[in-house]
Amino acid sequence: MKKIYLSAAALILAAGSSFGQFVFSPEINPTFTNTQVVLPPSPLTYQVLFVGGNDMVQVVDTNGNPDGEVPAKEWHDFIGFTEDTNSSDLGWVSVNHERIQHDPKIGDGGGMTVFKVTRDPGNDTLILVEQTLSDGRQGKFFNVDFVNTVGETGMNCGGMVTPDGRVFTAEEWFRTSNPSIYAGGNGVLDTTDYTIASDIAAADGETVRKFQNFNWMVEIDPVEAKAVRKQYNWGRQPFEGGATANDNQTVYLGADATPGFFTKFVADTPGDFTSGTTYVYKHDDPNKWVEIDNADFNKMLNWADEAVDAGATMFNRLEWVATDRNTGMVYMTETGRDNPGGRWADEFNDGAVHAPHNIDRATQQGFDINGSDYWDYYGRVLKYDPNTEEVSVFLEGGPYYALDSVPANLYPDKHLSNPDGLSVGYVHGQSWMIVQEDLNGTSHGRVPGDVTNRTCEAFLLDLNISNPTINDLVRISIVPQGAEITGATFTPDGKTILINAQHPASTNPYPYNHSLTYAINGWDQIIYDPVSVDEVTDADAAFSIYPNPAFRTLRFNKTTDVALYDVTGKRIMVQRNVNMINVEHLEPGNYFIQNADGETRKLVIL
Amino acid sequence: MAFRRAAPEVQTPHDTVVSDYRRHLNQLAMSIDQLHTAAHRTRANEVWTIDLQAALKATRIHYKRVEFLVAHLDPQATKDHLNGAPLLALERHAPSLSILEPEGLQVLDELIFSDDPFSEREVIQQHCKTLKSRFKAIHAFQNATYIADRNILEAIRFELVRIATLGLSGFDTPASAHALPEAQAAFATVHQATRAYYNWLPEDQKKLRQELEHRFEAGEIYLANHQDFDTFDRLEFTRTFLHPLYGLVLDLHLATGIETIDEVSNAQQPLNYRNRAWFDAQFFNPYYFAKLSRKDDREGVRALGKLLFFDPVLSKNLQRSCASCHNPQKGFTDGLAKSLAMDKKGTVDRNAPTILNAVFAKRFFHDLRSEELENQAEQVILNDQEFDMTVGKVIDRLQQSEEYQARFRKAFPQVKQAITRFTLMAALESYVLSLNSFNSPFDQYLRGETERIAPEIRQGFNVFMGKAACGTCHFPPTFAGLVPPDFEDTESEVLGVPAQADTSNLELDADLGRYANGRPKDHAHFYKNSFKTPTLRNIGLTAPYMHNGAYPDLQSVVDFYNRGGGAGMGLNIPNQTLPEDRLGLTPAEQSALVSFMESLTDTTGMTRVPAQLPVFENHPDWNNRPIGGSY
Repeated sequence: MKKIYLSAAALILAAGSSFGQFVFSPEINPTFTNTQVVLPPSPLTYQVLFVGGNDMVQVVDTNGNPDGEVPAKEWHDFIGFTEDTNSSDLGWVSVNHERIQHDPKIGDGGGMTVFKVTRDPGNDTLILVEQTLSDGRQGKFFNVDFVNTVGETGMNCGGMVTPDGRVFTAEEWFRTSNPSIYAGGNGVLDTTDYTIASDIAAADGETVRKFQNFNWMVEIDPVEAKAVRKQYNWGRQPFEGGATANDNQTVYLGADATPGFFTKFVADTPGDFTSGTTYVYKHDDPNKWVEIDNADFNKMLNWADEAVDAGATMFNRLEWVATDRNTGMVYMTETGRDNPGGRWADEFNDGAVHAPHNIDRATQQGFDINGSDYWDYYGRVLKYDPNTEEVSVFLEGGPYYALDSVPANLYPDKHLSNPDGLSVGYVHGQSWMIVQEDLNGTSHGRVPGDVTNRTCEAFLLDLNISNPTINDLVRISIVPQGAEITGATFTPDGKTILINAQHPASTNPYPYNHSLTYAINGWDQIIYDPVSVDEVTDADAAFSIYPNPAFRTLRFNKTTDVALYDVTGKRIMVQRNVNMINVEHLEPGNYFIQNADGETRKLVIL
Repeated sequence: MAFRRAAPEVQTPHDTVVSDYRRHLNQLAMSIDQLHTAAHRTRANEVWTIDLQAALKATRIHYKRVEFLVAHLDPQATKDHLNGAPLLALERHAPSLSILEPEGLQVLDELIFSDDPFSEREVIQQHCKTLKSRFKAIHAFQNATYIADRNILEAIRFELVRIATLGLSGFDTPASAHALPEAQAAFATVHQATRAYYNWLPEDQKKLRQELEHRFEAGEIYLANHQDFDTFDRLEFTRTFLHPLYGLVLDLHLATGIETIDEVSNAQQPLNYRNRAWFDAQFFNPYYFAKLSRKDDREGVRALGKLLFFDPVLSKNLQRSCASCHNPQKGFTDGLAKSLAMDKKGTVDRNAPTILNAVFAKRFFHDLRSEELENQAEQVILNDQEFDMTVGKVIDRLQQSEEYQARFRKAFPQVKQAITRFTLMAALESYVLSLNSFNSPFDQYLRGETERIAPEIRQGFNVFMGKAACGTCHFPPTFAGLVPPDFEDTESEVLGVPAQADTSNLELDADLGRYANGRPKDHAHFYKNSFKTPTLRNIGLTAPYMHNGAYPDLQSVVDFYNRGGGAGMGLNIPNQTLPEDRLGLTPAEQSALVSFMESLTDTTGMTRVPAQLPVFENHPDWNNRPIGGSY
């Protein structure tokens, strides 16, 4: 009878929202200084799949160095999943590396690693598959070869997976000079001009300065672990992410800058992205989209200038883009930037326009949107409706307090700041969004006072909820301190969410001191079609704890303050206003736990 | 110990402190409004200036009444918008290199107390307007945010450290030198907040209450009677009031039963919160700064690390060890301007810094290129001018010694394979962690363990923390760039150090420092020639000085600062962070500064060299290798 241990707080939520979707609540409480990954309790299972700097990747001959194996790059970001429809294996996982480093063997700059997984039919966990690629490389992890194919990339951040499983990688951190990519000999060492060989006609044969061969969307082949093509026809932009519509013909792209522009590409033929038409979004144009001629390679090189000339709509750092295959809706994160005014004032004067929702925000604040006073601390998720071609706010970040707000008794349990990673997955055919934070700072309540860790969390959102607020978000994982949470994606069978913890603090215990890819399995078991949850917890009931003995998480039958004592009576932990605590770090043995009403229970830690 | 729960009182300590805080926030908001109005008023130059200076002073006093909480609860907003240093900064977590102009009260302090503020009135007006809108957001959040009892007591203790290091030193009043009235306001505020918790002290703790009240009251009286920036005895005030109160407020915190940070979070914190003293070795928690965990840091590991530190088998030619450039007899440096390179072919690029207290930093190397202490050892092993090896080659060598194998196995019983990159680095790190130096004669005096201190040392500390402004970059207690009171950042500075000390042929050192460290996010023009602010502890042992060893003795270093650094001596360094004005130190003050710095020496128990090194059975020729290397 696990169900009766659903928290009182969770049940209040259930009344008006999605809680009926869960057999067992996967929601975890906020915590801000964890040194390990925080996870939902069983029956969900947890695995670490890929540890940067530790797992060895197979490389091809690069820069005169023979093939072999080297430690994988770090700073995992996007995860692309490509289903294997030809065997019983589940498919290929592609992981971006945002860390730029000079590495003659693996290739300078950023990078990607691919590996293949299959599912253990016994317990639904994932198993890494040994592979032999057609270039002869053998092993579990493979470095994606950029150097010998399309030229190096920089910070590989977000990406895109098409409906047929093709994978694209995006690069933010816009490059403006060769010295900036050379980085004192610690970045990309080869800065000679680059002559493009491409099946995209406008770019083929063009010679560009080396830094200009960065910041394109790049397609990779996860099966053969090599890059395929840079999309010279989508503009050179500080890309963070993209999404392809169900037609496999329309591509939506977000650029991480202020101003960031929203781009659309429509292929002439579905699935063939080498030719088609490229547009930038302009909400106040009757056609909504303005073409930028991708046959003119100079226009592709100077995309932002072209967008401004077209009077395009400006956003405050667009990050990831995702489509809901059930409805066709396009979602994207506008992560925000504290005081963006000065960053888009020039472009505004040159003709670019502001998105209506941002103009509304400035009006509410009473500030000039182009001035230094306008703020955007928390960011938001936007929705683009392909039917109406309108962009609207889907989910506004916070906590935001107005000056006349009622003082809070506690830091709000539900909060969302600077959403960045975004994906939509499907469990039993229903759409679920995963929103992930990448905090721009710790100020203005993005974390509670005195917390200095930029705590990043992942949330699940039931897309059947209309007009959701942050109260509808279900927190499912928190990465170790120092880390950004990113890449989260459902496997196509709806059983697993894959997540990256990017650059956790080096002081965390292994493997949480490296960037890592982990899996949470069993979602199909705990999510099912709506049923009512009718148990009600009684606030007057005696204090009870569960499970006891405990290993990872200890739950209570009510939300309370608790203190934990060891057998000598020494108080070793205090947590306030919680209905569960993490006990994983405790030494096995006997403990006592006391709640705010003075009720004490004996606890055994395994 | 009781677990303090919802209290029965009508007015809890928390209620008192929070309602005071909200009142002070309102007063600060009004004061900022008045400052804004004063800046925009049309008046004659002189009246306008006097008016504005008074308004800024008042605003800063109001700020000091909220500082302990706002700076503790929202350190980034405080730094970015309210009271950050008036220097260019990089936008945190931006999608590209993005430079922010400084904002807030310190910028206004520089502008409004300059020689001719009226000529800058438009800039001042703009800054006042920005301050007003920024504070509106901070105010709204602080007004509503939840503050735990724990946070209040932590904030009080942090404020005591802040007053000593960033307040009384003039750090945040760069032009007005209004530090003492501000310290008075901040000190009185934390006194009030502390007093609110007396009711929660158990009956048998009456003495603690009296002691707290006595120290705070006497401290307030002391401040009221000593208001001259140049003559204020910072040593006396810190030793008699701030430092003991840091311990006493902890006693109060523990006695009330309110939880401390270590009971709430299992993450490592920079400070051992439960340590009473702040000039001592237990103040910092090395496991926050290092990768090594407390449970892996055992006696056997440390002893093994020490052997490795002195063993030249780590270097390609078997002649150099870590101790070659970090000699314990020379404060763990080598006495050279720049260390000798491999096979004595020239020198490495920079001066060897001390290893003592090296762990207490967030960035490593003079150019801040690394975030990890263990990376420092690894780069030395790899560098072809230093050990010219790889970690793999070092491991291969160590595995050829049965004694090393046995020692690794004993030190790391928990791992399957004894000699690995992990265990090698852990052992070296453990040894470096043990090199704690916080027990100099100066520390002993400050902690009240000795009653006598030479008058020139007292004068030297006071000049260091006051008139000469050394303490605004070399922050106590590390006297390095580790920023109090959170101790989570390591700073670098642009001083304009010349290539050579010779003033007849003055030329900026060509080393670009932080700007050229290879990190894309440090590639900002203002980091050109910027170097990590090193510790001054044991400085008496570590000549020559500066990243390039240009200055042979402390007198010449003091003279360099007294002249306003490179820019003060006429070099063109637009991004110098050291003010280029002459300090105007008298010869007596200069010599007192040197005496003070020399009083920071403590190498007790850290200079002993291993008696012998492990034997290599199959390499009899290696067994004659000198302990610590041959050069």
